[in-house]
Parts: sequence; structure tokens; C-alpha cells
Amino acid sequence: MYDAPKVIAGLVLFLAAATFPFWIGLGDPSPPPEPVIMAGTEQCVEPPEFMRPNHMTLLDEWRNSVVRDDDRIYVSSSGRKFEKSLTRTCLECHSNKARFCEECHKSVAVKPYCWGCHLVPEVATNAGAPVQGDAVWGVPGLAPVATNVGAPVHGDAPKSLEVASIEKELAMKKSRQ
Amino acid sequence: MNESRRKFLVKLGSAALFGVGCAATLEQFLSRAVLADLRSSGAAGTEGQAVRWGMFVDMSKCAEDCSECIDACHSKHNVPDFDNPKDEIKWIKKASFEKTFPSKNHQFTSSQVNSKPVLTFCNHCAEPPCVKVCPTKATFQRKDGIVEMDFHRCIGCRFCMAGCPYGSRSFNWRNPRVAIGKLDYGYPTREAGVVEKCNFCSERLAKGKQPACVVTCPNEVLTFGNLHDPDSGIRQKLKTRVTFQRKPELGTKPSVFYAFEGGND
Repeated sequence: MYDAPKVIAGLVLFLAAATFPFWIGLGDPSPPPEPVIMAGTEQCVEPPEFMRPNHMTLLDEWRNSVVRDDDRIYVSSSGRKFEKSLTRTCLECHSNKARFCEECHKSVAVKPYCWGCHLVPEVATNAGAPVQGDAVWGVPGLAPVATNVGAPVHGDAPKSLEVASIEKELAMKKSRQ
Repeated sequence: MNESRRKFLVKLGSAALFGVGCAATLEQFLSRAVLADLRSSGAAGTEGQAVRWGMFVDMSKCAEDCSECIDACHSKHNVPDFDNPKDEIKWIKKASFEKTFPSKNHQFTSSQVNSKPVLTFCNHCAEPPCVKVCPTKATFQRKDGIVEMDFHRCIGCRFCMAGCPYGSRSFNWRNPRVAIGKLDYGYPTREAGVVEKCNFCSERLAKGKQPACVVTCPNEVLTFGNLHDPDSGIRQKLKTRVTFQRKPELGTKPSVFYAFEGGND
């Protein structure tokens, strides 16, 4: 071999550079992510063993069924009912997005684009603020439960005449589907 | 081979006839399949459904200098205000009578009607062209007739904007969050590169509430209800008033109806 020392030195350098990502972390593993749940002793919509690997699939199903089928209530495997909402249901307990969601997402280098549109309610000031006139026209009895876990989905608050007609229309819609 | 010329021609003719027959049958079959596909894409109207939401707009009651419905809608849905017609995003818009009802306008139209801007929304057509052209089915028709957008699926191709004959859609050329005065945390924003439009407040309907524009209007201009229920408020209005749809000649079957009254000028 001509110029053996130069060739071998070059090969060694090349191998060192090529395997850089593998040996750089040896002996110094980055700490595992430690997501922190801020609020609540309440149980999640499904057990953590299910949620850890499947939360993205669940959220994907939720968004499709809410937007495309107008199906907004999730019945968990234990039979409890939740509003299918990332910001109102999930973030109710997992309220610290930076220390819960991003803790793992950063570690595995995924960048879900949920937050390009969905607002993190930590700075919420007028979340769900009623529109002027809601008091007269709104239907408290029909409102799905937003956040309180396990509460009944339909209440029976008194209804005005206009309210009753809308409700009738909604009921007709449900019965025909 | 000693086949006669006559026999050869007969065989050739029968083969050609058979071929043409096959092609015609295949074409029939294919066109049916295409139609069936269109139907399943949800763009085949709302006939036979229990609910078809609609809006009645009484322009004789609408105050020219009032914009409460627009303000309520735009703040509820985090619609940005860029203060620049090129980037403008509108869910409800005031447009001239002449542009809104081109075929109803003539040289002797009442000046009171002609000078007053008309409230325009998405018409939530029963035969929505935007739904038919959307390549990702991001725009689709719900069973209750609402032409809804799934912002998650919108790729920003703007075919729907070309398809809509009413100009009801707006495109986010820029990040909308920078131009929203006060964020409402009850509804998401959009990202740059997404089309948006009025959704008849489907998120409020799900909670049994009327659309925000309807409940905020101080003059009861707007009546919202089920067009397929003969006893609904909107049907009562449609029975007692002379009403117009925008560009009905296009066959889109809009769900928004307008009533006007001339002035005494």
C-alpha cells in the first residue's frame, strides 16, 4: 500500500467522525424525561399505561370525531364521560404544558403542531366568555360538561321558549342519525 | 387461408359492434361509480335530513353603522384584523347590494336598498361547490347542512376559494395570531396557509346555543333555525316575507335568505 500511514490515519479519522453520534453519548446518558402533572389526584381519561403509548392516537381520533362527526363526548373504558377537548379536558390536569407535554416531546424530538392553532389556557382570561345575549338565548341544560369529571352530560335547567325549539331541533337531529 | 372477402367483412363488423357495445356499458357503469363517489363525499345536498340549519337576514332592520354581529363573531372565533384589504380575513362581511345581488340590481333600485351594505356570510349551500373541489375533504358538509372546515386537513390550495361563487372564504397569508386583538381561549386560532370561513357557530350549536351573531344583534335582524322543520322560527319568517338567496341561478341552494324593504325616498 502506498502512503499507508496517511491512508490508515485518514480511515481512523473518518470512522471516528462517522460514529461520532454513537460514542459521544457513551457514559453520559441524558436524563430520562420526567413529566410533571400539576393538578389533581383525579384519574386520566384512560389509565396511564394506555395513555403513554396511545395518547396521540386518542387525540387524533378525538379531533376527527369532534370536527367531522360532531361527536364531542368521550366514554372512557371505565364508563365515565368527558368532553373531547385537548385544551379543556387534557390541560385541565396536565396544565403545565412546558413541564408535561414538552418534557417528553423534546426528549424524543417530536414537534406536534397542536399549538400552532390551539391555545394554551395558562394565560386564559376570557375562556368561554359568554356572548352578550347568551343569558337569554343560551341553553344551559344542553351544554356538555366541560371539565368536571364524571358529572352528568345533560342537566335540567329551565328553558325559555326559543331554547326549547332549538333543543327540539337538536333532538330531531340526534334521533334521525 | 381461403376465406372470402365477404365473410371477413362480416366478422370485422360484428367485432366492431361488440366493442362499441362494451365501451358504452363500461361508460355507463363508470359514470354511476363516479356519481356514487361524489355522493359519498358528502356533496350531494341535504334532502331527507332531519335538520338543515339556515339563516334569515332581515335587511330592513339592519342598522348601517352597526357592526356588533361582526365584532362578536370575529372575537369569538379569533379572526385576525390585519387592517389591510390584501390580508383581510372575514367571517361576516358587509358588501354592497350591487355586488351581493348582481342580478337583482337594476337602474331603478331603491336608493335605500342600493346604498345600504348587505351582511354576507358563508351560505352553507345545500350543493356546495367548495366541498366538491376540496382535494383533501378538509371542507365537508355535515348531516345538518353546515359546510364545515376541518382546519387540520386544509393544505391551503385555495381551490375552495376559486369554487365559492360568493367570496365567503379568506386565506391566511400571514400568521393570524399577530393580528388578533384579544384572544378568546374558547376557540383555536388558525395558522398561516389555512383557509377559513363562517361555520354557523357549530361549536356553539353543539352546546345548544344560537350563533354568536344572532344573539348579539340588537335589532333582531338574524333568525337562525332548522329549514326542514315547518314550525321553526326561520320557516315562519320565510312564509311571511318575500326572500332572496344569493345567485340562486348557480344551483348551489344557499341556506341564507334575505328580505329587503324599499325606502320612502
